[in-house]
Amino acid sequence: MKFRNPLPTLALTVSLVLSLPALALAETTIRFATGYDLESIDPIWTTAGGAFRHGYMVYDTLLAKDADGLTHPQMLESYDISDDSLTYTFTLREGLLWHDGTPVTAEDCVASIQRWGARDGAGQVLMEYMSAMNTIDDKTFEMVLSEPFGATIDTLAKGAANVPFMMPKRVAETSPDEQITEYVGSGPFIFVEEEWVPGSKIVYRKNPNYVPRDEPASDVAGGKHVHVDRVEWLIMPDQQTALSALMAGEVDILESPTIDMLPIVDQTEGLTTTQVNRDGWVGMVVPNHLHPPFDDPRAHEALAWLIDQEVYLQAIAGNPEYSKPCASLFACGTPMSSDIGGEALSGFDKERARELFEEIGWDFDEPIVLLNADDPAINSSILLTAQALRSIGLTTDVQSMDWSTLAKRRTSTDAPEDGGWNIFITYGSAGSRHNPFFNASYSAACADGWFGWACDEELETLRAAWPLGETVEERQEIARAYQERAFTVGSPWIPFGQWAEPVAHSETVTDFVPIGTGVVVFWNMRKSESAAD
Amino acid sequence: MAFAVFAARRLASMIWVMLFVALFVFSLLYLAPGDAATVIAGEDTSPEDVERIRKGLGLDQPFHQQFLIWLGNILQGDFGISIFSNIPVLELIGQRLDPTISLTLTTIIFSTLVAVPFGVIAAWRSGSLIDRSLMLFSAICFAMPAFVLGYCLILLLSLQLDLFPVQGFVPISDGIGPFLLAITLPTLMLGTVYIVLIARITRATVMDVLNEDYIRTARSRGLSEREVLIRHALPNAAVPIVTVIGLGFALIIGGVVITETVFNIPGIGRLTVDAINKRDYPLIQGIIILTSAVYVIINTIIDILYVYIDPRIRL
Amino acid sequence: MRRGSSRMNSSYWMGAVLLGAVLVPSLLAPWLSSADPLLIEPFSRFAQPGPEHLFGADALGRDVFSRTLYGGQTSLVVGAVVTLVTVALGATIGATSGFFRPLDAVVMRIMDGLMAIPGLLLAIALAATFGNSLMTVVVAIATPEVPRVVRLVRSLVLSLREELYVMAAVAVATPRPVIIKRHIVPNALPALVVLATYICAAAILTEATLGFLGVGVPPEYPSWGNMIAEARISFQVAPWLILFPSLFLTITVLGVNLLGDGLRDSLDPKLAEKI
Repeated sequence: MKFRNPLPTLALTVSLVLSLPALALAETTIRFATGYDLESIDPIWTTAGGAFRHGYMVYDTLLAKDADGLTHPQMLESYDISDDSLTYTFTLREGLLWHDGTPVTAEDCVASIQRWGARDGAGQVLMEYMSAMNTIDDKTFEMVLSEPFGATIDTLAKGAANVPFMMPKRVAETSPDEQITEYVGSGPFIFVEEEWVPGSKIVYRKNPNYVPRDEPASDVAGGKHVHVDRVEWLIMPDQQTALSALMAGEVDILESPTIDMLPIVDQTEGLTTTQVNRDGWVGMVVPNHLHPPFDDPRAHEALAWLIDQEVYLQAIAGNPEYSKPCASLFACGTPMSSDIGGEALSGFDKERARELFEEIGWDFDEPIVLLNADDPAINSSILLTAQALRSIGLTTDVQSMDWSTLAKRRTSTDAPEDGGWNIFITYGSAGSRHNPFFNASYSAACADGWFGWACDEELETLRAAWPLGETVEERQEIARAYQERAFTVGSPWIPFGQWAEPVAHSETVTDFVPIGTGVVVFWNMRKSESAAD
Repeated sequence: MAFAVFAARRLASMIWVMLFVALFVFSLLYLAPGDAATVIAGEDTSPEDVERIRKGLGLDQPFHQQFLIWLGNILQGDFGISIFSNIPVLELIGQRLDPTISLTLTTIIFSTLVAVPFGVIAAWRSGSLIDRSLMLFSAICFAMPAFVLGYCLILLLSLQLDLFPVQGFVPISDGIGPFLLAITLPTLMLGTVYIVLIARITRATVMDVLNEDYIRTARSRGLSEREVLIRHALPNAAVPIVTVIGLGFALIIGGVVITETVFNIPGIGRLTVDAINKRDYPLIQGIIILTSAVYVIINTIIDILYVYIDPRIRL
Repeated sequence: MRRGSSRMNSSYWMGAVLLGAVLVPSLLAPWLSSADPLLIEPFSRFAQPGPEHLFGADALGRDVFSRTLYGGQTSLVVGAVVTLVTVALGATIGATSGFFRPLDAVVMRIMDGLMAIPGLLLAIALAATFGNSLMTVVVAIATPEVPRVVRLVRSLVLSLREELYVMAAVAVATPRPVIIKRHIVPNALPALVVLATYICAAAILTEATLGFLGVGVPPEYPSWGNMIAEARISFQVAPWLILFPSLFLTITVLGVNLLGDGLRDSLDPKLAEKI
């Protein structure tokens, strides 16, 4: 006979009692204007932003990292690592239920990890170390490794796409190459499928059976207490329309107003802004290592000398309050970041850049092909890059397309004049760029690597070594070595700064939880009838 | 007899036209450089993942195979499944019909109510100051991009005067008041071009009719101008006006794309733009085929009716 | 007819003046504006209209006055090229189809097919398919317009074929190109010219619309459509960004349309029914 912890039942009763008076009141609904459509509803199948956000509403994770980057159990009661570091034992919390009312079991989690491990980059690495996963009882399972892998817990606590979200076994048994068709999770919100209008509206309601942890919420870790009955995501690709809707009180929160809109928000009575995207975005100039001139490290250095981060950030954000230069490959302000090897990046020297291109023997009349996309931040930084290249006498060929075409075009390894490219620009969540291991964009695995195909064995060795570092200091050492080496041999990409738009919202909405990856979460959030004084 | 043959021929040609549309739409998207697989994969994936997704979606099959399979499915009413939302195309389109049909109907009703009197007055007082200012106003509306007009309406009537909501759609089942309130600005925006079009045709046809002998006779018999206009001129000008109202459907379908984008209305127009931006092939194909079919059917009906109503037309 | 010739002339002249008011500064752009329309100066972003920047500066600090004038060149080039392509292609197909009956059935089915797809939808699909370039935009705008010209020319040819002098020419075995040149072209020209002005106006508007939807000419080109599309986000911060290109665009389209009306009325008052 297993002893049942009475606490969850008690908590449930208490929360039911406490919620009784609320029943008499009207439902509280938060209307959230976002530009992210739910392109696909399966956060394991895709890393796209919409599915990632949806994942945190509907699903929960075994482990989660707090705002200080420390890992805590989330769905787990506890976990245990054997002395030989080969066996990990995980025990689920009591009282966890799927949205259909059935209990969360160890079997469900094993199946979920397997599906995620087939799909996610870091998950695939973990799977290589794993020899078996066994369920011990309903609430306990173990993971047996073939050799020690120091990043096991970090990998399972991964907060960037693909996040290892837990799903019921029958759902998790869907082939990793197909999308799931049943949307049952154990997270704080329930997806209301009947009200889903793809491309327009996504509705969630409070999960009454959710049992939050006792710890305070911190990033995606801690207690996820839900204080609203309903959350409606209204997809508004046109930010101007979204701003107008916010000003007219038709929505409560606008996810990503452009920074230029913020003065208007500030001037409008009843509206305010809150920074919830803790780490913000990292801008990345990606040179193609396969073709001249960027097959030569000197061209990379020249490009770094030409990038004036303050100018790029001014063009994108226009307000230093929301942006900061960062000459590190790892998000500034996080433990792995350093300015080692970043002299060319922090400096601006046209003469030096010109000399470097001359040293290579590059023909200044040969066009450098830059890919431009229909995104304001990408467009302005591509145009600035082209302008900087032209300012030292180089020839540029800016080719514009929509993002999906660019996303395809950048996979081309052909020469730039035959449909390939020299440079493209993108930006990614700084929250998923804290170290060289978890993100594919740090790969230097040549043809198997990320677009741009940086190719350096030593970088790959350092990347693989990072998770094996036992202490933060050891890992910092490896990250510094990676960065120094990258800036010497040609980094997979050159950062041009970090920026973050706050969310704009009605003053009636309070208690946002800032998240490193920039996803807006709705636990802890409160909405009052009128603005608090 | 001749009429029956005509109608049958007209219906037969409809099939050929639709077949052409199908082939055209399919080859167009087949040639497209963008690729749904890359969008699905997201930002932090490796090229191998992308290739795997491509295979999974059948995007690596040869052209004729993809086309024949697709055409066969369409004939059975299966328009495929949206690559992104994993929901059948027909269901997605179905979800979006209400706003678009509502907007189209309010626009047609509103435009006709405004434009016909507008055109009749302009024709009746042709050359006068009223006619000329009305015509100049219509010319300006015709020249202004619809989205600029849309933003002006939002700024003035919603944000400044707080009369109408800025965005969104309220289904008529939620009450006629809220429905009308939400749909007024989009209707104004979408209706402008349409009003100008109908007003111009009305003016021209009424003017022609006013020059006919029987109108002169009516006038000389001492009928009041109002009676002349309403009892004689308008009914005789009705056929071309009705035709234009029908033909303007294509104009509205185009306008719906812009209007729904500006006012964030979850209709077919926005679905189209989203589908194109995401390269959701089955969805784009489905939308174009279906709107074209509706357009062709409406035109065929009008053509047949036209001949039926007015036997002077040469078959 | 109660309509006096003064009205026809007035719309003709008004159109010409409006068009000239935009055309001349656009062509003279290099001399009228010293600022490089492409130069990005992030630190003067959203500069208000003033002596430094006559029409202000946009989100990247580019000079709006200069961009508006150069944007005029883009719009006018799109308008002109689309018109030429459409009329040339449409007239050729229409005349051929009208004269060679076996071809007619096939050609007209294709044209019906093209016309069955709502014009803007077709243009968006084409522009999105073949990527952002001036060429794509021209093709995307021209394709839905071609059938209009084909239909007009074909119906003119069909009715002219019945005319005695054309039948006579056919009877004495005059080569068809000669017949087309001698009898068809002069008769079709007025209607074509008028239709051409309407196509031109529609093309300029459609270019802006495609720009608005993000499938227009490449964003680094200054074009009115792109300028309006980019200015949309900062509509409330910097309204002048949307004002100037919209104003120029409206004036141009109005000018072209009025010119077309004037031409129509003075060339052949009966044309209104055919087009």
